[in-house]
Amino acid sequence: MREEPWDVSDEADEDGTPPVVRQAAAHLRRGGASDERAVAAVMAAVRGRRAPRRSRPASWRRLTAARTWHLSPLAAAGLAASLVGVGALGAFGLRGGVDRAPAVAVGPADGRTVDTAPQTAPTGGPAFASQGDPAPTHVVRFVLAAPSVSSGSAVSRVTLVGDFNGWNAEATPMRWDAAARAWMTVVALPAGRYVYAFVLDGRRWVADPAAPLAPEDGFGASNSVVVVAPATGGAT
Amino acid sequence: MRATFTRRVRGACSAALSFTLLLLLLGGLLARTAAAQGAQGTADDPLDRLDAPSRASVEQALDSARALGLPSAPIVAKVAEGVSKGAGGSRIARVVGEMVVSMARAREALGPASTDAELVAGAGALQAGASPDALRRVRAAQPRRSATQPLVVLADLARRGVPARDAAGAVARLIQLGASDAELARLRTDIARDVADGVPPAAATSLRVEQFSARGSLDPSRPPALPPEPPIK
Repeated sequence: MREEPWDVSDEADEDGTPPVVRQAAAHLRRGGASDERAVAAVMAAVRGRRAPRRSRPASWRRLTAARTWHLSPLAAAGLAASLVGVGALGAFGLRGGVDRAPAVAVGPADGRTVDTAPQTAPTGGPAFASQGDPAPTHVVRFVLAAPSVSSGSAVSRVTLVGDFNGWNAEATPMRWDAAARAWMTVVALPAGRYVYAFVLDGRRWVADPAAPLAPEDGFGASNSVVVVAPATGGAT
Repeated sequence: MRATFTRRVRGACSAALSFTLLLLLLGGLLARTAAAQGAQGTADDPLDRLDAPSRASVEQALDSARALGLPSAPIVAKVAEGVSKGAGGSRIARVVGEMVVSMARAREALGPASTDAELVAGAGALQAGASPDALRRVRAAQPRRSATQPLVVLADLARRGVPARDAAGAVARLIQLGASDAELARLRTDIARDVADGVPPAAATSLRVEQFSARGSLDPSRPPALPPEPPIK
């Protein structure tokens, strides 16, 4: 039984602990657990303390409350891989869209085409279709018939190079058209004169056998010329 | 208590491992993107691929072209072509210098109002062996239309062995007969085929010009050729 009066004042000590709690703790350590007055005093002190002020709504607190997440290593690695995948798709998908932009313009908007002489060339050569309107660019189709360039040897890859793509041998690959037995690609070009060539299997540079020859390139290879006319967009 | 501590340690290790993995992956992605951008930057400026003396020569040629009012894009394209074909820097610089000279001569022959495409085509014709006088003949025959296509045909005929004087005369005659750019291109194709079949180049050119002169056009639906327009003074 405790004889000392209980201090139920609100004057907390340095730790913020009310005096009655401290008194109760000391009393209980001394074996006074059966003192019902002590329990009642502590409970009264607790009830009497003003609840902390809630300045924010409950929903906001739930959203902003700190939480501890538990992830297995496998789940964490999967999450990381997903983040990287999303970033890679965003980066390389955008680049791919830019590179493919000229192909979007293939085909005349109004159904008209401009036929030009090289289309009738027996070995293919550059065949041209244009939008026919005073558009800034015109779609030019480049064609390389296989027999005229392979000389009996198989060619597995052909790319188009010219001053329109910075002479980059990787920038404009051509696709094999089995029906036409020719390599083809299309490029959107503004009106002007362009010099170009084909690169076979990344090694052999050849001029277009059906197109006008350009003057000596100065580097020991031959180039071809295509002229995209400004008025009709026809290419010769 | 110990079990809780162990779980916390394991959780912290897992989080650290995952975070490290994420950083490595992101770092690799960033490095690859930076490398791609670096390669693109190199491709954008072919002069960066030249050694210092060659680059200085090319930049001098570019300065000269600008001072003369000549287009610089064909010069940069020629540098890119040389780099792509594996030519040495000194050779590229020499070819670029010759190109500037040819363009200057072409503009002198074709007139100051010539377009960039005409200048480059005229320079090509000169490099193929045509004379400045041949360019003047083509310009005089086609004063109001672009001379680009006739100059391209002229250069092609010269490259296929047609004497430059004969080639220039043939192109000027065809223009005076009213040949369109498309007809010029078809005639060039016909002459090239004849030459490939063994016809002497000069004879093949003369034959095709005479055929065109007799028919007046390669297109049956086209009216006969009109007399040439007087040159603009």
